[in-house]
Amino acid sequence: MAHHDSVRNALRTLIRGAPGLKALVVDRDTAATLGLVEPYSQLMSEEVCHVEVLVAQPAGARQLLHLHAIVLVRPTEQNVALLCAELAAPRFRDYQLCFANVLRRLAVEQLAEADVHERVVSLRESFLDFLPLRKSLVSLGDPLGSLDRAVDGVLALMVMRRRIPQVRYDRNSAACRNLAERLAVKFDQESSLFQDGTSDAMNAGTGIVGSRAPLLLILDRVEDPVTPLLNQWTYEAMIHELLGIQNNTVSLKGSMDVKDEFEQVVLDAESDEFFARNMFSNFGDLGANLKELVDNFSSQRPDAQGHVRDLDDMLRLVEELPEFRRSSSNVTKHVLLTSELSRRVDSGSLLRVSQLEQDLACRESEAEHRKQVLQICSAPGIALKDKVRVVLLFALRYEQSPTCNLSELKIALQRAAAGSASEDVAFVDLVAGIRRYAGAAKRHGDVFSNRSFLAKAATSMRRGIHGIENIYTQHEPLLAQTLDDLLRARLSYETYPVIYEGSGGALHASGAFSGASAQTLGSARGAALSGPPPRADAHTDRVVPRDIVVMMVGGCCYEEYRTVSGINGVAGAVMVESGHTASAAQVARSLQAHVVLASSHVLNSSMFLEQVRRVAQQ
Amino acid sequence: MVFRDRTSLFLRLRGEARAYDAARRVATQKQQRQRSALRVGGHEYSAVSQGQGSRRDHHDAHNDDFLIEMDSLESDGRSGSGGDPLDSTGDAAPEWVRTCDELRADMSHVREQIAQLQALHNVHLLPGFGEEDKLIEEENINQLAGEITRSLRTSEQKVKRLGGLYLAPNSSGRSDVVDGHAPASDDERASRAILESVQKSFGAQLQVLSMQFRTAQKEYLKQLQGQKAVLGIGVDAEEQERALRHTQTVFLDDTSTQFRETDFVTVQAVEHDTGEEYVQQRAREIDKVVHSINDLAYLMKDLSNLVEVQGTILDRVDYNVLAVRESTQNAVKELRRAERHHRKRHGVSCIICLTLACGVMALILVFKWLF
Repeated sequence: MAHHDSVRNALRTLIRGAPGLKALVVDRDTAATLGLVEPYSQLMSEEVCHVEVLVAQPAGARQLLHLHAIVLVRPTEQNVALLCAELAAPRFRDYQLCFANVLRRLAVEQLAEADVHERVVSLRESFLDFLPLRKSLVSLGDPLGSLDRAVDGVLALMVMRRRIPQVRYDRNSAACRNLAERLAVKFDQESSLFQDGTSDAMNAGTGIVGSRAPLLLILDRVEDPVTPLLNQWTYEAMIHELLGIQNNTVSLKGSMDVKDEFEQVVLDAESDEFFARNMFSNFGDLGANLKELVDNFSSQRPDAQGHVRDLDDMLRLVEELPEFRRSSSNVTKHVLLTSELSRRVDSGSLLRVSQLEQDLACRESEAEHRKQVLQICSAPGIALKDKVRVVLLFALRYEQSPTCNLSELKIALQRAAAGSASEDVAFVDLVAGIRRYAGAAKRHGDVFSNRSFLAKAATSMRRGIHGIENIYTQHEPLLAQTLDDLLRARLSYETYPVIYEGSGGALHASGAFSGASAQTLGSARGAALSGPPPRADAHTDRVVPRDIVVMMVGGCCYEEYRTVSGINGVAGAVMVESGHTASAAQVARSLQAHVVLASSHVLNSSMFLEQVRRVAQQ
Repeated sequence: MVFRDRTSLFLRLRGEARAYDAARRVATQKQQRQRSALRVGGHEYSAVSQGQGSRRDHHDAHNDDFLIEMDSLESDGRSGSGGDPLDSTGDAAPEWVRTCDELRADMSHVREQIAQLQALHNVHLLPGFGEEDKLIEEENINQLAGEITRSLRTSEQKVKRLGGLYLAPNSSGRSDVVDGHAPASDDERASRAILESVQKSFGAQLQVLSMQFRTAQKEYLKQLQGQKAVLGIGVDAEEQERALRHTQTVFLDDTSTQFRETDFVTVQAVEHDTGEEYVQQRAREIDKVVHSINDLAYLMKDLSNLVEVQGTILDRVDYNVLAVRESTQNAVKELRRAERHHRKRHGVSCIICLTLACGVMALILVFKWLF
């Protein structure tokens, strides 16, 4: 919740700082951020009566001299140029400029020069340069994943948290290293931004206690190409996989016969209680919960309480009507979404596909899997994209197996593609592409738990002893394992080195460790070292930070968000009782640790395939 | 929350830039004057060359050709510009802006009054002695409630009036002079949209206020009733009546208020005349009905779709700003194309018609000439 609230607070401070009738000038990115945290009606009640996007104004555009403009834009060159033009021919009475990130001095000079009418009242930087999608999920809204945007976004996120973090990154990934290095430089340059963040009072609202530096862990999508290839069975992840969530809105256009009103719906855990409770429920539970919701709703329908007898009844009815209409539209929304999901599941035989996918992700059995994959490839009624995904999973899992021969599967895929829609045919060639993108040579982690005999044995032991609770949700993303290791202070400093020591550092180690579990206590003895890591084993003494931000380069998935929520102790988010998530959640609870997942964008399988193709083509 | 203020840097840079500009301008003007004085004697020519020269100079110096435009604007429009922009707009402030200011003042007043009222309620609900004190308190409460009712009503009328002021900003003021050539329809639409949101903004605030007032009064009544019930005293019907009337006539039209008043009077009269128990009961019931109707009328009037919109796509800022903008732009594009299409078809058909007519005429002529 922390960043969500701090963004909202910053916005309100900004808006309330201006007197009288206000106009808000935004750009595309800040409009998206604004849309996530503040409803339009709320803006209106703050006397913001005009919101517009910063664009080049035609000559002689209307002057709105009675409005005070609040400009909230990203500090891009284009925006600065547009603003300069705007200031040269001002349309508003005065301007409060606010940039969503650090503004270069050159830009300040340009603006100062352009402001010939001296209409600018203030110039500030606030750090709203990211999209707070959910409680612990931050996106940068940048599907191309550019490095600059990532640096800006993470900087803004950390400034909002008021701490320079300790930065650790995945050594094997060039992208992670680049980002980490750039960030380290940035944190040094902008250290003044963090200076007021040392008092604990400021952290009271964010739930972060103590004055240890948070940890920024930079991971690469390449390490775990499996998660985005799987079909998902929890509400939120399913919606994203099958319909696509963009900025917390879902477009239902083109699916079934929906009324205009429901062509685009909002999925916001803040305003939608049902969604907040059920975003991590699996599809079966969701059906039951939805039925309950509908039943509840129909029992509270005003006319269900019998005839309206007297005026008091009528009064009550009218009083309840707006609330009733609102919950009615909410119920309709979820019923529509669920029925659309269910339709797509049925039409694509997704249960069957998903079973194999999960099996491929979690179990080693090459001959059997090969047979099943071939069956799926030749089965009618399964979308080509799903067939490709299964083959890709197979190719990834058995990449290093000596008997792995993909030509048979490729031929099967091509045969299937012959009669398919043109759009997905391009994905058939990805079988080679995925290995180039995320082949075994690129990964050092053990996403399939099949690299060592021990890992294999552990997996099969676990499966043998605990059994599988739900074959459709047995997969756990690699992130769970990584975080579990991190929280138990087992994450290797050799593969995830520290590139930057944050403020506060590890000096508080001994005092701040009372809440840690015995297991972790054993490994943490007294003070830790500071400075760059000279040798890996020297760092085993380090403290586990409580405030963890995971930056996933190359996009994250809602399944990973579910994992993170599970670790944060959100009820119902842990699917596998004996898995890494549960174990990490246990440690996190005793440490009072909190994890935030950040990424350039949130992936579903189509977006991921597209991304693989783009990278493979380069 | 987290802000870094760079205003001082900006102001310093701006000051420097202005000083630099001024120095530059003085220098160039001096140069110009010297040069033109040297070159020509003719008044007209010198003026023209000065203008052009200074334009070129500015261009060279800053690569900012808008500077010149601004200069001319400054000189023709605002006296003492660069100071407070209020000066330039003060006279021409359209009526709706003034109404807004009034409304804001009214509302903060009402807010205070409501707080006061609640304080009075609390005091009155405390157990105390002295019948007379209580009476005075009641009198105060009723008076205050009446005042709040009145100011809420006037505010509501003002909000309504805002809607009628659509074209006010166009009627006068120098904004007209500046963008006289802008398409009027766009202007109107823009100002209408702004006025509408202003109206909505104040409407919402007003609604919250009146709700607050209403619930305060209701709460008070309920507690009063509870107290009296505990004490074993029947609720003072008249007192309750008075308190309720204030809450309920808030948004009723004058006619219905009058109706209510007379109704009440007749009820009282009947009560007085007969003095029978059951008539009193009847009267109270009728009162109750009237209350309910009033409440209903009030609610119906107040029923806004604000609650419904919350949490839907319509309440998303980005959707409102981006999607609507795009769709309008598309719509405009489509309309343009359609119009062009339309016109072209007209023209073509006209030409065809005329050509045909010409041909027919020519034929007729030929025939006439032949025979």
